[in-house]
Amino acid sequence: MSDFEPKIVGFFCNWCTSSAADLAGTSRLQYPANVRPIRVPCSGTVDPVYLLRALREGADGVMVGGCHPGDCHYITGNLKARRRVKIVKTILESLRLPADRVLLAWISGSEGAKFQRVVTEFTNKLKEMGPSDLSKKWK
Amino acid sequence: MAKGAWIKKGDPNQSAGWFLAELRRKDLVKGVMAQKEMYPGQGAWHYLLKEPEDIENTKVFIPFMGSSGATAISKLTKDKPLKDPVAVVLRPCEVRGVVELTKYKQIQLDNLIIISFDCVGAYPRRVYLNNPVDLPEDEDKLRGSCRRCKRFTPHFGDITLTYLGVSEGIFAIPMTEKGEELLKALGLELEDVPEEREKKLAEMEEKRLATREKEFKEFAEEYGGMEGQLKFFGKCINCKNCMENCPICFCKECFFKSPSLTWDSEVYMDMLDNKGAVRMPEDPIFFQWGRLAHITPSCIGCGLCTEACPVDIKVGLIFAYVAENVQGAFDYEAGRSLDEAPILMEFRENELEDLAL
Repeated sequence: MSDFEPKIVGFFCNWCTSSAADLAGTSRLQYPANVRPIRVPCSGTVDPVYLLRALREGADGVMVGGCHPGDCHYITGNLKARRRVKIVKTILESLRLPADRVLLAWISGSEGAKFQRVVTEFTNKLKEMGPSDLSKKWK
Repeated sequence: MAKGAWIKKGDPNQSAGWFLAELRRKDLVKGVMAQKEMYPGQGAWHYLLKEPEDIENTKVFIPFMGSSGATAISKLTKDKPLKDPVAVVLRPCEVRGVVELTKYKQIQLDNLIIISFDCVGAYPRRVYLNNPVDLPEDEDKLRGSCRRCKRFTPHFGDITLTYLGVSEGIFAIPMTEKGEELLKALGLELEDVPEEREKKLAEMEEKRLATREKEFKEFAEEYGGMEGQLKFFGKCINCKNCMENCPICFCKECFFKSPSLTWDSEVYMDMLDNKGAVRMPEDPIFFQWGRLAHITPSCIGCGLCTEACPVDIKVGLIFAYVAENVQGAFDYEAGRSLDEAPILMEFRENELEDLAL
């Protein structure tokens, strides 16, 4: 599976992780092109159904990037995101589906290097896990 | 020792009917909501009633559950709180629904007198309609949600009615001061609750917890993993009846009915190009998983989703099982208390600290 390139859908907060992605770019920190970033107003706007839908439609992994607790532009949006991600992971675990295809990371606007590291590690992990079967349409 | 009052006016349903009618006769309530048959043997439904003679032949303990009283009360009180007292008779699962909907601001409790009962359970709709009875007799024939119910006695409300361990009629146990006042206003005297009741409840609990554990384990083994999920939802017809019947699904504008799930014609062909296969018109597994994400934080395990399913998918089983894990992860139990904020209404800075990188 060495040539397998996982598809990652990333939901990145406008105020932090999206800026971190820009910073990684302007700092010429190269990260895998596997991640498809979607800029959202706040990680708290990411409903669990967005994550499940991405997985069901063929993403090998989904990632939510938000501000560190206490730093949310809207005060508690990231705490909402954390509970929602926990719910999605618990559902997947209960159904014996791979919950580690869902990732939550706190990446502030100044953490371009952390963005690069997190995305690289997640991509490598998904490469190891192989293609997701969550989008299977029939047996 | 808890106290309560005997009501001996015939069989349990007649005794409960007399008690409710009496509340109305003495003008202690403006109306009563309870389950009543529209036509004998065709199931019993929630009716809001005024005339004592209509109230008398309601069937409180009937082993039939066609819709949720919590939804009914939401209609009754959402816009405006009640001005006059109304007694509503609910199963314990419906009471849990009332607690959840109150926290979501879909119900206002003012002037609502909640009367519940020790619930043995209800039969699946088809079983009941084949052989209509007034009281549940055969435990093994009960709906799955009832067989594995761990909260079959109310923890919230004003009065609990019971016929468990009661030799004749029913026994009414007040749970609040208001409940006690009502019993006294009817001239009923309070005595010790029959000890047999506790024994019966303990027996039921032991049996049900065992069933619960067994069914959850079997479900995970048979329907866990992607192939298991395809098998479990393989016959889903996408009708969304489970959603329509769910008391917790209260949103007026639903994501699953929104245009988010339909596309312009050419998009389907693009999807065909990109994916090679498209489930038309939409994917039931995404619908069910999405609903799991929305509902399990507050799922009360009433089993109305299973009842509503025209193709006999055990929707209530997967929801109850996942809900136990989701609610357990936050040390929350739907319907347990008005003071606990629902999972997605309370956020703490110092929790789940290992979850994020």
